Amino acid sequence: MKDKKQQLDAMIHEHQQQDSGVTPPADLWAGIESRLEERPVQQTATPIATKWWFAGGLSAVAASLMTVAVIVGLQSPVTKQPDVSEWYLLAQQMNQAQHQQVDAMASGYQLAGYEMTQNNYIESLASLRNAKQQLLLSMQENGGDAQMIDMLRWINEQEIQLLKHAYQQQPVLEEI
Amino acid sequence: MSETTDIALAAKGDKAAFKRLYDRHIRNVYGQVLRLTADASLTDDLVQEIFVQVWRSLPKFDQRSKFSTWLYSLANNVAITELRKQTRWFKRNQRAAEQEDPHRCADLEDGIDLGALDQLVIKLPEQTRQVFVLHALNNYSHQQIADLLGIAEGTSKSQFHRARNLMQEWL
Repeated sequence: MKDKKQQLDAMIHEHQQQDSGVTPPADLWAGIESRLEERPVQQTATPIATKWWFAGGLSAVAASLMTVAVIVGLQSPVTKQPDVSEWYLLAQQMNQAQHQQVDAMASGYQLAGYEMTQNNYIESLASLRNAKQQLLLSMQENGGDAQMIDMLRWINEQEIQLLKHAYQQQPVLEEI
Repeated sequence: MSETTDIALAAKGDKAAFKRLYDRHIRNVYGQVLRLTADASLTDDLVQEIFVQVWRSLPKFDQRSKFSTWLYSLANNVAITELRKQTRWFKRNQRAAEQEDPHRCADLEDGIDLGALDQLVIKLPEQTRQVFVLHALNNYSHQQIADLLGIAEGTSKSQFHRARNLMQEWL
């Protein structure tokens, strides 16, 4: 029995020292790759102070243009692509309007002197956009339905709420 | 390309870099999960799930720690968590604890090239096997195993001794 104990200990030791990997009998990569979500493009970190200097005058114009763009975007008919469902087209239109609204809000907050107080804002926003991207992709492939439109609306609402929370701090008064 | 570079690239969304990480570690992850499940089909599913979760978690990976340690720890956690989620968990555990059938893994041995120790490991009853794999091969403490498997620390110790005794009998 003592010999067998030593033999087992030797086997464990050998296992730890040597390559203990096992080759999968089938290729698993294809199944994995098909489930990998696209990563949201990371925004380049720009110092807030610098951003504000540039944002000052331009943001007013940008915000106005975006507000107009939102209105125009909502009114413009979307050109129907072949083999694309009406649900997906609606989702695209909602997404476009949401994107413009979010940009306009961010510019407006910055113009008014609000600071972004939530450090993980970009990460949280990226998660939401990632979820939205998956939803849109699914709708593009499967056509979508009213439930998915509701889900998209919910994600968009969360995005707006997140933006509001990210700019909670009082305006910073600059010395004259 | 170095692993550190591939980790950074994959964290930013480079799937080719992630594939290189997969190629480097797939055999170890597969072997580890196979030892925990003793089921090739289940291992295929779990390994795919593990790498999908690695992809999602990579942006949070702290490069100061060793990637392989982080990866194998994640693999263990995902594998055990998924096993416990299965509705048959308790039934399988009860059955595994009650019976020890050294021949039940014959199909697995035929399909996959296993080392001498692995051929013994996969014959162990499920919970006994998991405790042995985590303690003897992954250096988990009995308290860590108890937390992971949802069992008492004493149970982990007794299962480990049982595993050793069974394997010594089979030598």
